[in-house]
Amino acid sequence: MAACASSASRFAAEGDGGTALLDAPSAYPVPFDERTGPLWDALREVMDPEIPISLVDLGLIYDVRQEGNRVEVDLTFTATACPCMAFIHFDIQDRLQREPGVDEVKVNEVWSPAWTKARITPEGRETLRTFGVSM
Amino acid sequence: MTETLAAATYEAADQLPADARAALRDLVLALADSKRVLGLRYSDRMLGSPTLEAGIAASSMAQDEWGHARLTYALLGDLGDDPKALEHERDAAEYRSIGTLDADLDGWNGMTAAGLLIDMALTAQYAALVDSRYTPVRNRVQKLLDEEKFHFQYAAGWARRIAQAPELRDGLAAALAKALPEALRWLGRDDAPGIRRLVEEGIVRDLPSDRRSRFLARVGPVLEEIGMAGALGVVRDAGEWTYAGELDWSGWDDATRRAGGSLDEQTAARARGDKNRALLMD
Repeated sequence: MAACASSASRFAAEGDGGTALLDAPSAYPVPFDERTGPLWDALREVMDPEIPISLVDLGLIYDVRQEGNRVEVDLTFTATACPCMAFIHFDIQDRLQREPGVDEVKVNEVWSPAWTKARITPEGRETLRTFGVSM
Repeated sequence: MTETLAAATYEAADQLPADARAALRDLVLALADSKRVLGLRYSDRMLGSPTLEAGIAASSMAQDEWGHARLTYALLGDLGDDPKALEHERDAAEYRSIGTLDADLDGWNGMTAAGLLIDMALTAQYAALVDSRYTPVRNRVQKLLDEEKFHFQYAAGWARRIAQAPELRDGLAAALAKALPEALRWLGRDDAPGIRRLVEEGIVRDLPSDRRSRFLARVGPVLEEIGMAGALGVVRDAGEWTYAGELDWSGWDDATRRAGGSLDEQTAARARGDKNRALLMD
């Protein structure tokens, strides 16, 4: 509950409410083989709270961009009522703010194109198989 | 191509003509309130369901509906409202939820009828937004429709199962007969000026009568399969599904999509989250 209250304060302070919308740019989400660099690597360390693979492998991160010391992440969810939305926002911000040169992290919630199981990476699929999960 | 697309879309509500914007606000609020109250009604069927698994399914569907309500309420910020005030501050009489949800669902028959007819009427309306020229709504709808596929399958499955039990058929038939006219009426009137403006601006794909046809094309085969289509006035003629009954438009308000009555204060208090107000977040 403390974590919920903490992340709620954070949303309120930033005024986003976790409901920012983005129109889908071309070539979106970023293709598997272009998800390279320190920001993507950092996000590979952020695990989904319910499914034992990273947010990147689950296909929830559609894009990550850096301009100066500010990073923006385009994030979707597996379901419109994902009960872990606040935790995921919070975990992304915490991890990326540990990267050198990153002071500010904005997370955009996006719903287009919709997430499907096809967005799970081959590595993610393999990991899930080791847990006995078929997706 | 990019320039053509940009010219053909509304990226924000302040780009819309005033009358279309007002009509869109009416539509979004009716959808959001209906989703919120439908989720509440589903959640009330979590306990005392026919099986433990059915109760869990009711819980999951309630969760989905509240997710859809959340996405839909959030649209109202772009339309000039304070979404949090609309979600958490309104009196019961201000809710625009579909009228048949003013009352609790009557047992599992009511749950099944709501899933098959009320939920799918709302889905038919959302489906008319999937290629909307208004970008914020278009960007949200497909995921919602994906999730609704399971609600339809689930409700249809229970309808088939209940219909096979002679001692249960009448109860299901009564619940469907109660829900169907309201579901059809809620989709609105073709001659409502606001609705016509939304179609003219390409915000909504087509007119209410088209949506009724699509709705009937989806639920009609299920009703026919369980042997109840004819009694409900749902008729297939040369491949087209129609409703043979007369819809009662007396007292109908095109903006609120209601014909009087009101949600009760106790249900509104639950929808607003009154008892957990100090903990509200997001």
